[in-house]
Amino acid sequence: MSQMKSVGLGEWFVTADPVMTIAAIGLGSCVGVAAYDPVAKLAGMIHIVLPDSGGNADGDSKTKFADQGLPVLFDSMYKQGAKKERLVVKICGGAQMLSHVGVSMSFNIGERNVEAVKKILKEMGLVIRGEQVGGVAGRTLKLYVNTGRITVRTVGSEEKDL
Amino acid sequence: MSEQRLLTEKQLESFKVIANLGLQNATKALADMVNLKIVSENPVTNIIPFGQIPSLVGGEEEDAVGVYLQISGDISGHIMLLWDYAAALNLVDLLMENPSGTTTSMDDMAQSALKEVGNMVGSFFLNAMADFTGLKCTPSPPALVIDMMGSILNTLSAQVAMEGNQSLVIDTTFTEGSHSVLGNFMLIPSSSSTSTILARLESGAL
Repeated sequence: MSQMKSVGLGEWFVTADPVMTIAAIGLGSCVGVAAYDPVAKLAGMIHIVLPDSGGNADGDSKTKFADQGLPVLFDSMYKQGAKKERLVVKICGGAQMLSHVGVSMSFNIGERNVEAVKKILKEMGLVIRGEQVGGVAGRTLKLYVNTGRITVRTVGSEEKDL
Repeated sequence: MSEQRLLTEKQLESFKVIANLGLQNATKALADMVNLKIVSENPVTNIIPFGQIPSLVGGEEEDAVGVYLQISGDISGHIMLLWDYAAALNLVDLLMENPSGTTTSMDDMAQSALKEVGNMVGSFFLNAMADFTGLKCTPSPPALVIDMMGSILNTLSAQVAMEGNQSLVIDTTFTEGSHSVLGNFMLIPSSSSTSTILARLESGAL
């Protein structure tokens, strides 16, 4: 029996338990980052809400930001045996769900989240091996720990490999 | 955790009074549109961390329809009406006075009908709040989105998270008769507006 761990807004999770499936359900403007080390069989995911903390965040709230959250996820994975050069990193989300219907507000958070995540991963020396970002549709990101399979599903369609 | 409490119990009680007046008015607007007796079920007025907003409605992977209005004026903030897809179709049939099951997709007509519901319900809530506080605010034209329930709320939550880790959330479910769900209503004032309303209440002007 597989067990689902849902990673909510601003949350992150790392496991090597092969019965687990990690998921970021219903990503809108948020960005989900999935990482897998096929040798250590270690899996991690984070659910990024906003691009930049401006250096102000502390405590539990800091992982909602790309700049503070991504280092927390990857530091944890390295400590548990993951190696940077083996990591398969895939990202999805960052949709602009409401701006396309004519609301003038800062709902372009999606685009800014994607830019920030890509910039920070690059700075950390990590290569993105798969992505499905932007657009107007929400997505669910899943990572199957036993195989390292990473999938994405949009509304009204089947789950597909990312 | 040293997270500062946004509101005292007493201040929260004051907001519940405003929320109830607003919801009464909003419920009446919806009831008049569909010509049915509508109830506002399990209303919530509370300080909620942004990450918990999606779980107020639930069914995160379900297909859903959302109508969003941005509040501006003396008070700013967000209004969202949400339906799971089947409930949205059902409501369109009620609005059009069609037999249940007539509407099978969210075509232009159906979308216009739901936007109008958002407009009416949102405006009626804001009017009650404006009358009570003397603060003026207006809703933007409604924007409609069809997607996963979780994704719609995820986007709203991210917007709220820009303003802080927690905020005042007013949420209710509109039901009719044998608990047929006619939609979820959510109103989230910006944190500066929450302070504006409080200052107004505590100035003794009311």
